Amino acid sequence: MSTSIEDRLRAYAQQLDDAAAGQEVSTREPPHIAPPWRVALAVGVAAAAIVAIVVVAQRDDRPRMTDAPSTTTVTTTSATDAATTTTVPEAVAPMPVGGWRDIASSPLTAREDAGAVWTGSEFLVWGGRNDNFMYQQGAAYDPATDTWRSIADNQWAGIGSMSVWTGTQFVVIWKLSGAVYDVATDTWSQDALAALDPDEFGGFLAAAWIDGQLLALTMHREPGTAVGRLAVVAIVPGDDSWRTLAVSDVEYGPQMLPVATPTGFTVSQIAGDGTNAQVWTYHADSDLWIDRGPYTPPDGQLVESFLPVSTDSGWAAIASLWTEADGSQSAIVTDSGDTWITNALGESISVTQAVSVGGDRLVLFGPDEVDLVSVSTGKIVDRWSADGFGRMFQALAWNGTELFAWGGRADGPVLATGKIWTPNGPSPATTTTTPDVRCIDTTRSSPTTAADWDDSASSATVPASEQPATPTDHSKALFELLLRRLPEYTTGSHGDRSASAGGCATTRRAAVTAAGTNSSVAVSIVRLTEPISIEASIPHDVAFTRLAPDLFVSDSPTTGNRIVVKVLDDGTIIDVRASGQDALGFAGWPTTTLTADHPAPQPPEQTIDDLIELANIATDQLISTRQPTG
Amino acid sequence: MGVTEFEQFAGNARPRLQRALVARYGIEIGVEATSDAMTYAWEHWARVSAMDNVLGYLWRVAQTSVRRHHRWNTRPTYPAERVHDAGPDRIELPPALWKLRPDVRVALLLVHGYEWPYDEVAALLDVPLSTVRNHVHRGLKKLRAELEER
Repeated sequence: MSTSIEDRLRAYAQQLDDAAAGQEVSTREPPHIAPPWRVALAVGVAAAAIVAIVVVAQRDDRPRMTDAPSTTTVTTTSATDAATTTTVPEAVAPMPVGGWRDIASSPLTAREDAGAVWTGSEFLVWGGRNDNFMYQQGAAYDPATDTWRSIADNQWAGIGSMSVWTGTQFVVIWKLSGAVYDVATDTWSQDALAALDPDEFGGFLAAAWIDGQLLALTMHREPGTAVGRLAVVAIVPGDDSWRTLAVSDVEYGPQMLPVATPTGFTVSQIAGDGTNAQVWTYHADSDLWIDRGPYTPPDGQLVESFLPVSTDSGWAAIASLWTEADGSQSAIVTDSGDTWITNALGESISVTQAVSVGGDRLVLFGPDEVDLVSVSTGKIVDRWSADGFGRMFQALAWNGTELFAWGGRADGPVLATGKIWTPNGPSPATTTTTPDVRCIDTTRSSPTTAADWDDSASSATVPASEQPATPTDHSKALFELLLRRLPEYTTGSHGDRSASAGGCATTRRAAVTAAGTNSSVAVSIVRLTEPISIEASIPHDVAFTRLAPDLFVSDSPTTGNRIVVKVLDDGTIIDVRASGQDALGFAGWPTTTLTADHPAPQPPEQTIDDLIELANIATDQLISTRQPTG
Repeated sequence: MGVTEFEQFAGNARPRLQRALVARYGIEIGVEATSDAMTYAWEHWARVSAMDNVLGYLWRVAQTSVRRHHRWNTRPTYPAERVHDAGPDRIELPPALWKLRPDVRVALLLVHGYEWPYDEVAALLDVPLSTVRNHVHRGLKKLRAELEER
């Protein structure tokens, strides 16, 4: 007789209890370390103990206790097997586009939640914590020499995540107090920053440096009640006390997520039933709180998370939206003032931290990967998912041209390594503007003479008489047909690419498509009128891997496309792509119907070689026939 | 006072909160979130103890903790089902359970797995009683469709 669902639920509930108990013992309560709430209890009863512990940690910057093991004895399985891996050909070095490079070893031990700022010449990191201790040490990294130097120890302990740079000082706040570090004298001062009155305020929630003063988001207590309301206080380091600015009528809730923005603060809170997220913004210029109203997702989706992030122009939110049919999907949400704009990212991604890196771009960090996304389009521009990229709770600082990331953790213990990202990547070639590159009209400059030229979405079809009998030969036939017509390149405009680079472009495109299968091979040659960057040049719909300094390759697991991009020294981009089963030379390649849980079939290596050959031939032809355009 | 009162509270509330959070987030994050919520409760005991619905408040605190640590999108971990009478066509309960909407799964596990009264689940989730009934009804219906009608 079969067991009822209710019986199975009861039995499984017991299993969950057992597994949770095992987890508690194995990860939270090794013999010498109590669970965190018990540690807090002990610390509260004997506050002096933590002082002693912190002092020990401060002296040698090394925790004395053994980290709690993170292993678990339960059988684990994934609820969502949506793995869509990008397979790199064996001959390809796993170095993605985007210019990450490792930075020198730091004198600091591994930690997370450290504070970080860019001082104008150095990446300054201070504080942070591991599973047991908060650190009071810091160090500064000079990217010009790839070296670190230790800075003076702070006598005050706090995580560093609420920190600002004043132009000459590093200011960090936590709970109700803070400290100030003067770079010129290499000294810390706790006296330079008055403490908040605990009878009047709760702890700090976020910090911003705006118009020459430190603004802090906090909770203003209502006398005689347990109610606290969101409020902003301000101080100039050295002043006697904090000034109370606008106190909102919004009751603080522990589920709120705040972020400092260029103009003030943004706070979000998800409704209890998940039907919407409420947002409030504080504007420093007018000292006003504004209720942005509820964000209600489209199509009956529920809000699972709503992480506000700072952008160049204000704020956005990285949201996880859920439906019964589709599960979780990530989205970028912005507020235009009268409407909410939802840009689905097209998949569910884990986000722990987000940094604005200019324009509408955000770098999103998660435990598994790093994503570069466009706020305005909701597109994932680039993705780095190799080992060592995914991190949480890092020290991060963007200086306008480089993003510094250090420490944090992935799924394992805290880390003591870091990387630098530059938008353009290590330049594979000098990009210069040649005199013959000019803007051309957005309409075709000459009539097309062959039906195969594609300057829109349509592709010409290979005549049946030219189609070979076997798929393997088919790709070669497509290549050959395309090669014959390369000299006939016409000129036209390519709105997307030129728009993304902020200028106009000369574009030449050709494509051939096999009848019946929609397999195609296409070549595009794009040359922008402004000096280009690699980031602006590489198509942004999929991630690329660098094969050579000027050569990039990518596949798209969801569409089956293979793309090779070559960047010439004058900034010209040659983009060769194949899609569809016959174009890739073997049967069974789905064109657009791959599901997320279906591993992408890999085309023969020969396909890549063919595409590279085609890119090289196109390069030769372009150079030999280069003429001024326009 | 303080410590004794809190420890009495913790002894009762901790396992209940943990069951709910494990049902919501899986083993690893659920246990961690429980510890964070209990830490918060201890640190703010004077204020928390005065509340009408302490467990419901700590449920929200725990969710904030998960979001603050941005682990909300981490895949949940949960044990495989121990089966003694598995036939060849038996379909695993856990994957089906974890495909349910989170609030539905929590309500279903608390009511049918741990035999919580409906009103206690409603108080925890801060939703009307009718919502819990709907969650449980819908959850059972979906599980039956998933596990029995194949």
